[in-house]
Amino acid sequence: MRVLIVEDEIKIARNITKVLDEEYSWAVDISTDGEDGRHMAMTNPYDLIILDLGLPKIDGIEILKYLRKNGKTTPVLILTARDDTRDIVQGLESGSDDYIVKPFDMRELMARCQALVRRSYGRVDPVIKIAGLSINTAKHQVIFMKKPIQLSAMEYRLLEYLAMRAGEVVSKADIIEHLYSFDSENFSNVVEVYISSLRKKLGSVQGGVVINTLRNQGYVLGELPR
Amino acid sequence: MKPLSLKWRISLLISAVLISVITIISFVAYTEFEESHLRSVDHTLTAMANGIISSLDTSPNKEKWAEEVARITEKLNENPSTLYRIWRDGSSMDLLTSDLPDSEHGRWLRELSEQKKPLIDESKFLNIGVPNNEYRAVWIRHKINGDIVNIVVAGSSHFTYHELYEFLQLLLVLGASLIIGSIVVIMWTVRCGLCPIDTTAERLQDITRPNIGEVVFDYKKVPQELRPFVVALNDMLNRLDRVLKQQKQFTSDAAHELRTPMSLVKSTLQAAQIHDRQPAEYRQAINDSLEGIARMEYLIEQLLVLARLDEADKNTVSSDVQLDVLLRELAETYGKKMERSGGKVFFEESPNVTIQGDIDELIRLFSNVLDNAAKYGPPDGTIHLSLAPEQNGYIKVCIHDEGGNIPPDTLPHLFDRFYRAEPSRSKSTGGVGLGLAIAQEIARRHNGDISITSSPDSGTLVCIRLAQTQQG
Repeated sequence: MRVLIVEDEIKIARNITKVLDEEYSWAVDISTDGEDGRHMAMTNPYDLIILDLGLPKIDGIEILKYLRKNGKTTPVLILTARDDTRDIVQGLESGSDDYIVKPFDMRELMARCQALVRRSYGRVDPVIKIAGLSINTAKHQVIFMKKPIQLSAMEYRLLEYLAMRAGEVVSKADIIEHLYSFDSENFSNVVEVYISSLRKKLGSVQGGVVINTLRNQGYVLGELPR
Repeated sequence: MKPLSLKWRISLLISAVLISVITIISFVAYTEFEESHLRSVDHTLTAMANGIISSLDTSPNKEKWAEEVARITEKLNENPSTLYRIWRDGSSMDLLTSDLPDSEHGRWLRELSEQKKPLIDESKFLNIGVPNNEYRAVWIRHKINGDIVNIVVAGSSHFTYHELYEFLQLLLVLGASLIIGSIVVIMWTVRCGLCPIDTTAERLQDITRPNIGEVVFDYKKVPQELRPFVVALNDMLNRLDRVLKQQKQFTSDAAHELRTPMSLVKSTLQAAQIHDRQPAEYRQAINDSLEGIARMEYLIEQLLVLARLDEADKNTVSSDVQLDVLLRELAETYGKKMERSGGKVFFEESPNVTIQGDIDELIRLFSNVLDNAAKYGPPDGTIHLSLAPEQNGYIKVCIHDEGGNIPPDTLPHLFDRFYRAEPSRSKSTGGVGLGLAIAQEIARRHNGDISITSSPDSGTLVCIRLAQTQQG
């Protein structure tokens, strides 16, 4: 999953990035001003945007309205020091999906981020089950054929994304856009490397491979679409 | 003793005036009525007396004369009777009389002659008789054939007094009902006139902090005299509402400003806590937290300064401050700070200027302005300080920097609390937006003011005017 944080207090943004990366293995981009943030939000397929309201150049609410007006459906979580009910209502009515007032609790923020992303992929249950494979997105546990499987951060990131879109063909470009931030060294063949290592780990358990490759189209977790 | 209510006071006052007026009118009317009645009686009696006098001249014999006199006096005979007595001066014998001397009426008629005599042909009016049986009499002395003849004609005035008594009764009843009626009307009017006060009081009771801005009293419905009161009341409510809103805004701004460093500290500590970390990471987390705490400390300190300035309206600690020395020292301190980035602080030579004021507050005032000049001017620019006495007992201190990038539309708001000219409220420049608010407050406390002009060509100029002596 890839997240954009638009926050002018860079240290707060870095703290959130650190936690999202360590706990969820999410890729995070940071923007510290409104103009830059709006541009990044418009040009990249983020899974979540964490948006401050008091921003240099363009106010957070303006960015939000702009995104919604231009058809961006990315979940937006407002993270701001404005605690007035009017501000909260205005934020939600302008198209945000959640609103957290500073100072916030990191665990709560993480849980809300997780829930928003899950919902945006149409998942209600934090545990995704596909033919013997069970991924607990809240606890980052992967169980295949009743046996827990240890995955590296990148492997988990890839599996979770494929699982969220289980049954769909996921192109390589999609994977790169959703799993790597601007800071990542994303070489196109890295995706193949992780796919093959995932297949090995899942394939080592009795039951076999669940990641299918469709030549020139992408990958499908679970059964192939008809 | 409890003071009488306004309603009663007004009613009593008006009633007292009314009672006196009605009493005076009644008294005058009564007297006039009485006089006119007596005049008409007197007129009749005089006519009778004159009739008797002329009959004296013309009557051939005594019997016919007596008949004529009886006829003349008959007219008034409605009541008991008309009394008359005619006698010669110096004689005790009557020429003619209606009553024998030993009767009651006769006695009264005789007692008359003991009084002072009227002049010849003059009429003298007298009251004779006893209460409830009064008589009005006229006494005329007429000279005829060398003799002086006295003629007294008396008519009962009892009937007249009876009429007067009835008139008096009428006056009393009318006056009393008029007074009672008026009191009722007055009390009702006064009550109606004062009832806006009651309604206003009732509505005032309902005012609480949330609805204070919504209450407006309609001054058109109240009497003219109460309008200034209602208008003043509305003004007061408006002012209170404004102050409360400002206070609320200030509290909410302060809370807002505290939240950002607070979330910095909290998120740093929570992020560090999630996993075991390397010492270097912990060190970084501690440093970041301390930075956030320092920002909170600074904000709280500024808030305290402002709160203390707000608390006491005028500065209480006042001593002689050598302004030129103070500014020179500040210029040196800031000069050293600016040196690192290649900037300079220049203090123009000035005459010795001493003003009365609080030295700590004045240092804070100039420091806040110099902080801004150092922060928003170019790092390698020059800050100019100048000091000049003005003619009207004021001292003008100007601080100029080469920045001049304050947007014109933000100039009026620069002294607002928590206002920062950059729309970002960017944290990179630090500060919480209270520096100029504090500076303005201090200048005001020194009977002065502060103003800012800014343009990209000429830079930013802050001028502070301070009164040399503090009076009042």
